Amino acid sequence: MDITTDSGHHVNQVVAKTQRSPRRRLVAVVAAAIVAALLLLITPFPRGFQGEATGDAALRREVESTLGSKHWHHMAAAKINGDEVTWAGAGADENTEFEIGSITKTFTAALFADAIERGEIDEGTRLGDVWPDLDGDVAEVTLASIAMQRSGLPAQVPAPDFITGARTMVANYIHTDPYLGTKTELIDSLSTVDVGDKKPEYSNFAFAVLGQTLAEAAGESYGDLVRERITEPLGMHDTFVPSSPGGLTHGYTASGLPAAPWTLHGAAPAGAIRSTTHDLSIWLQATMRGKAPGAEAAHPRAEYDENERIGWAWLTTTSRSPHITWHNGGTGGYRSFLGFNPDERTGIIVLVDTANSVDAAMGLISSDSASAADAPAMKEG
Amino acid sequence: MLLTQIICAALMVWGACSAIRSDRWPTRFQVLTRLLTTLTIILFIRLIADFGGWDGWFIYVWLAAMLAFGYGVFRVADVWPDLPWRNSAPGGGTTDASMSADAKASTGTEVNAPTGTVAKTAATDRRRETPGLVIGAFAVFVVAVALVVPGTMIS
Repeated sequence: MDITTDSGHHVNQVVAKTQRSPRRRLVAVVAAAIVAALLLLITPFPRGFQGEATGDAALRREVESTLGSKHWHHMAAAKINGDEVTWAGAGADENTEFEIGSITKTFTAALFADAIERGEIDEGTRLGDVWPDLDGDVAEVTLASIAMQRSGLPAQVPAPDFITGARTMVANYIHTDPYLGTKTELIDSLSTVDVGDKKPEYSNFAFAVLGQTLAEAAGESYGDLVRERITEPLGMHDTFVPSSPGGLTHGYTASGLPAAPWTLHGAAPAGAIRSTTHDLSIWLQATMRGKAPGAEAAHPRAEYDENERIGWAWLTTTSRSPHITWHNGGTGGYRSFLGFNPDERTGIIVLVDTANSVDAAMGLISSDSASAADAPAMKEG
Repeated sequence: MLLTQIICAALMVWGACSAIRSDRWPTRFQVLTRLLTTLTIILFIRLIADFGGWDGWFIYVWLAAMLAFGYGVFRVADVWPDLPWRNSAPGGGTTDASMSADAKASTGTEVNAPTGTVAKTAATDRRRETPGLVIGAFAVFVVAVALVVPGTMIS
């Protein structure tokens, strides 16, 4: 028997060990194999899209090839070429409902353009003009600057208190809707924020404020505005702003865990809309042709970064050929992409119920290199 | 996302190394605590990480860490019968309750009571073992709940 003391002051007892019998080794191997098997069971192995194939097989293969290897669930896609629309899907079709995330901002921007046309506001309207209790720098923020993502407002909705902030953080980890505040709390938070430099910076908070401001100016709820001014006139019957998560389908995280549906509550104008590829193809074509309410929102108006210009919400990537005007979206359990080229009259829509980026879908109608000489002249707004 | 993946990968490497070295801890309590800590990390990474695709790198780090964890379990299971449940109590010989049945039966050895600083350290370690194991088990439970319960509540 030997007792030793190691440098960590633990007393190690080195007793005469039993011989490591084959049975003991076997038990160890079995234990390790069981544990390894259980761990492999919880591994989200990359896989293709799941479920029954729908629509055009060639488009489906094209989308799968473009989006690459990830842990996927279901997909619906639409490719527009002039008046022709081709659908494809896996476990979903053109009538399957998805959360479209920030593609909602294109609707909010269209409502902004439409409200200008109706005379409810103008391009120079400030937040203080609609919310008279605001003062200081935040009251001077113009709705147009918000629509072009350069308002200086914070990127995310500020938490009104520590508890709400903690709940938001926990919501991100357990994959539930992190947007907890009401419309009133959203607008009240404007009094607490600092306005930064008016440089291009993507802001969910600002667009939520824009949408609720438009609703206030019109005397209606944001959901009603979307329905009355956009989806009903265009016949987009499966597109709506949900008022509660009850009964809604859900998506999955990038690693395959169920993600709760998002309604975004007061921040709905930043990303709450649910739609289908059928309805979004109507939206895409109407916007592309200039026929949609507020379609002028898609026209590029200012620089966003070295490769992109921005209209009202819509981005136009100038480093691609042909140039593509687009917006993407993402929620806890969904990703989306919608893009078009108005000169070539082509467009692509991809919706998935997995939180894996589908931005690569822009490659289906536009390639990565651009020739400045070939680029169409951009319309200045 | 890349930053999250890098941090998660670093945690997995640490966890894998920790799992492989688990058999070096002197008592079963400490070994279990070590394994539970590693399991907590694994489950937490499963909860938050984006694993990407076969053309990425993260999935391979994960799989390597899983194999390492399995190997760590093998090493622990191999030495388990030789380990006492807890550190020796001060002021006397090792109590029957603290020695595993195999160790008692196999060796027929006597353990001299540790004295002085060594005895104090052994007492401190013994007092830390139970809370450490409880905290480790609780951490696994919390992360496992976070993994499973939200999904069951989603209609």
